[in-house]
Amino acid sequence: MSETKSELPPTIKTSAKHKGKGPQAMTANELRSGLSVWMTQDFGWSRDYADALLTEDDATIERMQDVANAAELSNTVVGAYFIDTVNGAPARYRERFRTHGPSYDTADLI
Amino acid sequence: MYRYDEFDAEFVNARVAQFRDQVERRLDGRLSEAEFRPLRLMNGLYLQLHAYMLRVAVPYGTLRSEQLRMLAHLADKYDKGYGHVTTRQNMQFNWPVLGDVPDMLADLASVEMHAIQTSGNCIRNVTCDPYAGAAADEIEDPRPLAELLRQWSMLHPEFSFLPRKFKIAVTGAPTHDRAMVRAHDIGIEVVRGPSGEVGYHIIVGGGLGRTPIIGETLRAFCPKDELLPYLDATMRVYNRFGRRDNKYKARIKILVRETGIEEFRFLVDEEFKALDASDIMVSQAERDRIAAYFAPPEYASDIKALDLEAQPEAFRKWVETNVHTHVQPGYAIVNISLKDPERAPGDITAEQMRAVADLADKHSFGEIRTTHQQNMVLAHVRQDELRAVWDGLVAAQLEDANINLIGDIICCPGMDFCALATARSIPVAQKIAERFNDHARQQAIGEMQIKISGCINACGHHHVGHIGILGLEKAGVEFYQVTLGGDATQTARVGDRTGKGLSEAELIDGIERIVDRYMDVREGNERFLDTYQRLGAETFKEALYADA
Amino acid sequence: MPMLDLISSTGVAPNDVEPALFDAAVNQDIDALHLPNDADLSDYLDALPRVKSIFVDFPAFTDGRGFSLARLLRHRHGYEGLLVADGQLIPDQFAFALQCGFDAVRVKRSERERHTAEAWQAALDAFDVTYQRGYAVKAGPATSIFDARLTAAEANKTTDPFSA
Ligand code: SF4
Repeated sequence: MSETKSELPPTIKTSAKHKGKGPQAMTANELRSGLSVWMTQDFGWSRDYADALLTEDDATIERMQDVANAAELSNTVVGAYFIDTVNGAPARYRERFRTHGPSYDTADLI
Repeated sequence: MYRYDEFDAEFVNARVAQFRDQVERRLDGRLSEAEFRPLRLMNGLYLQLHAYMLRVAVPYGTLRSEQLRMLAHLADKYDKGYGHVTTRQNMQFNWPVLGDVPDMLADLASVEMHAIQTSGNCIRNVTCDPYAGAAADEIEDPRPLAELLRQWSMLHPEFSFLPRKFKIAVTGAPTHDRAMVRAHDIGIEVVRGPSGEVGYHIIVGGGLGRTPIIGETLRAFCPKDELLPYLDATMRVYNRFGRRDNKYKARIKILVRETGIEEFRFLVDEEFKALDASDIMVSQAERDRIAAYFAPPEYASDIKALDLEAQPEAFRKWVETNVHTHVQPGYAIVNISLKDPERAPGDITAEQMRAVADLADKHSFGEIRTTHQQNMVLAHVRQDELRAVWDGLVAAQLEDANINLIGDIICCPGMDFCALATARSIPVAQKIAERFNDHARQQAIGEMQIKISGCINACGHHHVGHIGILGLEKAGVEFYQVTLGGDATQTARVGDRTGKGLSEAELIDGIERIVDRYMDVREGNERFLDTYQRLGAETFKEALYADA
Repeated sequence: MPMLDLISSTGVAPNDVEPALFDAAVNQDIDALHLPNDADLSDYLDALPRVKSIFVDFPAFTDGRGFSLARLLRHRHGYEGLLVADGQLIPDQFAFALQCGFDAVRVKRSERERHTAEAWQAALDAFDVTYQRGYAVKAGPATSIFDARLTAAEANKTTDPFSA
């Protein structure tokens, strides 16, 4: 008896799913550092949102999804998901916030 | 304070090795993220908005000086030089990397500490009255009970995959609840039974979050030796029947509410009658062994009275607000405020941790407490050494004299750090603190608890703040909802929602108007909470929205 | 149906049993009973002596109801047959499962690449001690710390001629 891919147990399913509006960006956290990253033009990852690939092209979006799934399965990033963008910036407040880090950090006072 | 014996040490070391192995298996893919997530959470490791966060357990809020120094070491070596005291008395670090965490845990284990069960759907680190063993109003020191619960709940084979997290708080002073026992899944008060014997009042089903509920009595008097079997019975009922279809309805408070307290009590009693208690309860000898660690320190009797008149005014003010009565004549409980108006409430630098550890060694039997109000406590300070303690705090910039005043704001990390947040909370706390920065004004306002949460999960306890603030977001803009008249003590009460949310600027002005209105209408030295209860919400709502 | 393996403290065995739902009308021996994790055990008590093995369903490894069911079957109802945790448990839960009364877990063969026999065994070796009384097991954490302390205290008493 063999198992097809769709029978992968829920414990190793990846989380990326595309159902957004407007240009899409892909984000995740690095497994090792935990830091936020965004998928770049060449389908790598950057810690700087300025490098993020934004696209409405269905084929590219599909490719991004595949790359993100592969990155999760190869244990480089975790929790990848698409975000909507407007005028080049993430649409949701939380996602915008995530691109520039905390507005206050005691570390900055030390 | 409790000291590990060989068995405790073996257990915690094994736990470190286990987690090291789990991290290795995660990194090479033998554990998927879905599998690893609950495992790392059970060891206090979150993946937050920007980075990992490690929450270290401070068991029932007690630390030895060497332990606090170790936390300082972790802050310096693996993080960015500071830690954050949480509303559950733990300490969290905002920037560790995954590969370092096993080493951090090994360092912690070397001073009898761990991060076990500071998160996850398990029995969380037990919290406690920070004045335990020092308070004049206490029936019995609750720390031996808290330590017993710590041990009983550690990696419980049956109760580590509960429907949802499970928080227990204990207090030995039921007339002055400083542990919020009515806002926990289970709250335990030390009480006296019908014939004067000491036992426990068990409260169930309290909690904040999106459905704030004040806990109800599950058992008015539980004899000491029955406690563990009775809790086992309660946990089993919850584990079997708690809802798992909806994570927002999975806490025990929802089970208690949907079942009804009578029926729930019946289920627990049936379970309790049927279980083999002898299999679970621990011996009197063992309870005595644990209790012996918490015997009162060797108090001195040659303490000179403190001549406050001869002292500088700043010191006198600090004594008035930050120093609390001790059960032992000549001694005092010192509250160390971590509410510098310019900092995030609860944050403390590594350098400050070391300063507090030194003060504890010199003046408080080497012992420190953390509080759910995100401050620290030196529990046993000679009154004739208060000035020396204050001098040390001044040198460490920890002398804020605002305990229980409007500047003593409880505040969760909010959007600045938390992955679940809907809005920021730290900047709001800072702006309020700045607005009321004048000490004389704070003093005149008197006891006032402002509590701020960055989302509906209510880690900042906003529901039980005298003034509660909840941060939300709509269309990319943060706004804040205000509740009034909440109470976190033995007279616990969920605050009343005032109405529509306010922008941050409107909020700060509105709070000032509420405070001004209170100052106008209060009778004598009435606290805000008492004035609120006497007059009701209307006048304060009117003040809040006067500008809108 | 995927290939399944039974993993016990003594090893791994392929397993092709299909546990059946309980049918109160059937009055003969039951080889393998499928027990949903929200089962009301009182429905099963009469039949329990006729049951040879029980497979307790774990729909997700994070759903811990099965642990309580095992504890009840063993400690309350005296069930002595084979007791299997049936679902995608992970090695890190193996000791818990045995401590609650399971004999084995049943997992998909395909998962065994990541969770090898060695990983399952190593998970059992992680702890020699457990705090909870009544949950110590030979194959996992073999000693309750509370009991070990008592024993140690007793031993101290008898070896120290000066202690009263
Ligand atoms: S209340 Fe919300 S934002 Fe604040 S710490 Fe809790 S989950 Fe995070």
